[in-house]
Amino acid sequence: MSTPSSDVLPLLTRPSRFAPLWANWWIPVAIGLLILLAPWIEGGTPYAGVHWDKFWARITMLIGINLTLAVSLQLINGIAGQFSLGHAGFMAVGAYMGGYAVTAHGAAAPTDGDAVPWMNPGGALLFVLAVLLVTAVSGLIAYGLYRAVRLLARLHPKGPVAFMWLLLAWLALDVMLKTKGVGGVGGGPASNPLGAINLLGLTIKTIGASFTFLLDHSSPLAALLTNSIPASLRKPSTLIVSLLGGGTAAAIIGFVVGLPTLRLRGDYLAIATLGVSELIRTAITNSEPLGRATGFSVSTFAVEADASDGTLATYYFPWVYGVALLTILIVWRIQHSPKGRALQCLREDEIASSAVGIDVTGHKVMAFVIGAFLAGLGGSLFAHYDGYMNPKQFDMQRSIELVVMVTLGGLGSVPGTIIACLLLTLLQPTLQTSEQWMPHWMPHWTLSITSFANQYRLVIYAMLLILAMLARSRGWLNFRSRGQATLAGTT
Amino acid sequence: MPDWLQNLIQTLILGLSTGAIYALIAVGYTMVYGVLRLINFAHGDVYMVGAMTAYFVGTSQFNVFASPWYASVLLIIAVGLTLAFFGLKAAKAPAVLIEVVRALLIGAAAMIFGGLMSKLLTVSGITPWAKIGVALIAAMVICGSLGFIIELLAYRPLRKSPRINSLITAIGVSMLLMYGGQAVFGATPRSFPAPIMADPFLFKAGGISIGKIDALIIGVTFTLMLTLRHIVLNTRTGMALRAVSFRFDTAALMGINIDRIISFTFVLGSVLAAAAGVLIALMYPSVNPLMGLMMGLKAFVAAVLGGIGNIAGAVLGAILLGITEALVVTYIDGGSQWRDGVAFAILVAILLLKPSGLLGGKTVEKV
Repeated sequence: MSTPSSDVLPLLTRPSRFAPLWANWWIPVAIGLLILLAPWIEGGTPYAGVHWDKFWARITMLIGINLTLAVSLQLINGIAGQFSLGHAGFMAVGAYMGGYAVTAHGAAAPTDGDAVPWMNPGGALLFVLAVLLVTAVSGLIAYGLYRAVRLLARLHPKGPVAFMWLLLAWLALDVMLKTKGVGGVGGGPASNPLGAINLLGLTIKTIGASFTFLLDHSSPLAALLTNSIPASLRKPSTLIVSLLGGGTAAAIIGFVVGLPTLRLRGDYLAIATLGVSELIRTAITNSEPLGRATGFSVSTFAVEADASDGTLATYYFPWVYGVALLTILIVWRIQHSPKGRALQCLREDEIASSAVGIDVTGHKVMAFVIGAFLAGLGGSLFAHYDGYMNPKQFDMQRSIELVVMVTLGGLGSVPGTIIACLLLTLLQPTLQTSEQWMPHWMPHWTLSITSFANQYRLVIYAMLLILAMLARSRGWLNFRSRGQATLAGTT
Repeated sequence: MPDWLQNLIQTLILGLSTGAIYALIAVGYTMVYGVLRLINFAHGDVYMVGAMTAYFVGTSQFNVFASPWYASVLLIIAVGLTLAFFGLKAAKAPAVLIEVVRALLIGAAAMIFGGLMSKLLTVSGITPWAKIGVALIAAMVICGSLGFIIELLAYRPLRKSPRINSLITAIGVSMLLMYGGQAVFGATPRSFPAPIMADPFLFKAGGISIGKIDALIIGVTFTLMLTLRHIVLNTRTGMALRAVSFRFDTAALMGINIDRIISFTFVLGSVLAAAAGVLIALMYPSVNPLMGLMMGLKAFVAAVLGGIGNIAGAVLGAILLGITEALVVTYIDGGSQWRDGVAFAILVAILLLKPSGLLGGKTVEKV
């Protein structure tokens, strides 16, 4: 008797129950590590002789943010077996969305006394809602166009192509005539005989205008919302609004990208996500309110102006690690839920999975959107990391670093990702500060080795990645037994 | 001739020469994808190595033979590797060992060749055009060897493993070339010595001018494409290549040496990418180790636009992409900043509307 795929059956037949407690030994270990680390960061030197200064406090924060990002990427790349190369793009969406919400609308300057509170969660909320509504409406329009094209295909096989050409020709004409005029005669609406049908511009204007009333952070509605929240809760609720806003925006973009590409073969997703993340970066670089290439200062309250080492951490630390733990929890629970089993099933063999009735595209899109949402959360936290960000921080290199973490940690293994994330994030600052911690009795050339390794860190990553795939394709840090969820079987 | 027509024609010429360079790279992507169903991320970086080689050979700085000392060491290594290769083969050593030695041997041979070409250019009385020709050949040889080595060491061992593993390896190789290139060459862009010409225009009439470099790019690309067409359609190897890309397993059953054909595909693609590297360095005279990333992505978009796996489609897609970019840059305010975005917008649109590309047929995945 032949079975469809020997790898899929055990996944399907195993009852979906909670994993045994000891199987998740790493959760208490992680929590213990956090507890051990916490007093160090709270300021001062609780452990004798160790000066845990601002530098290392910042690195600890970075570890937390990277944990969120890497584990959410693990959901897409490892558990669902897709290959996203644009995680930095979702992170950028979250960071700029969250950062902008806080800066432009969440932190209104006090005018007279306490009449207008400094923290303005209502304004931030309205801004987030406005942006999400605009995105949703334009998404609906795009979806409508898509459906129209599909419908045309049913009416006539050449329909979609003809429609596309018409649309393209009209757009090209529109843009050319509108912006530069013909042959250097001079642009502007005056010389544009077709200005009346500038539908694209009209649509954008209409959508924009209909939601501008939401954008006023000192409007009565915003004030009402803000005043209904107790003063002590205004700061955290502004942060929550910006986090959720960033996450949702990233999730929407993930949905828009994922829906068409996840129907196709996996490698298209890699290119499409890479492309979209570059597109997002280009958009930010060209956007005046987001500070173009020079960068954007977030009026952050996680790092206060006169903060000593302590206040930096005490406010920011729980947020960063709270989100990281939440992410780990979500991904872990998804992995062991029926949906997660379906995901791992289609990772092993898509055709066999669809044969047993799993909605392949639906599950992939679900994993992708959740991953994007969590990446957006991580990004919103990253906005407060420096209080400053620029598009260069979200380039391909960051995506690749995350991919390296996920891959070295083992595709499909959350604990492995956590360890890899810790090690790799610590690697750079450790190598950078080698002159401080290297004992005097060590020979001098050890320092040259560390500085060399620091300089060519990315070359080493690349080698590790290739060697991992050639020698130990389930990741260096994947300690699972072979019986569990192997990556074999897909061709 | 009215002004706007002049503008348009000039833009189209610019788009055509950019598109020609995209085409040279895109063909490599599409051929490898056709044979292995693998996106060879490292392909863009092979193109970078081509440009770098051309820079170092063209300026006679390919320091393999800087001193008799270096030269003799390199020759001894090459001879030693040759002996080791045949010795290991005779002794029936493990295949991994033989392949590593073979890769090293080919690498050393390519380095020696590059050094010789670089030395050749120090001879006085060489015209700039001859220099370009020599640099082109050296870059092609070195990149061809590089493509062979990459396939042999990184992709061949993974041919039977899941596709995601090959994809990750491809990204690793790409990173290795990019950041390794940064370590070797330094991160600063180098300005490529463009040939000094008394009259940079080949043709100038009625307000339309065609630069000599543009003409060279289009001419070289056209020649290479005709050669490629000949190889793929009229030779036995080409027929084998088509057979392998049509049905992998059946081709093997028909007695085709799959390994050889795949290596050949990689070498062919890399040689074309090297040519693209040299040509782009003539057009925009600046080379840096990260230049392959964006170019490779755009060439891939071109390949998808035309229908991945289809060589004619890749050329068509590349030219369309080049022309679209030129139009956007010329006719949209601030368009030059959106130049890189155009390719990705096209990619998303094509994946949404016609994932099989303009010339690609519908494929049905069989169980």
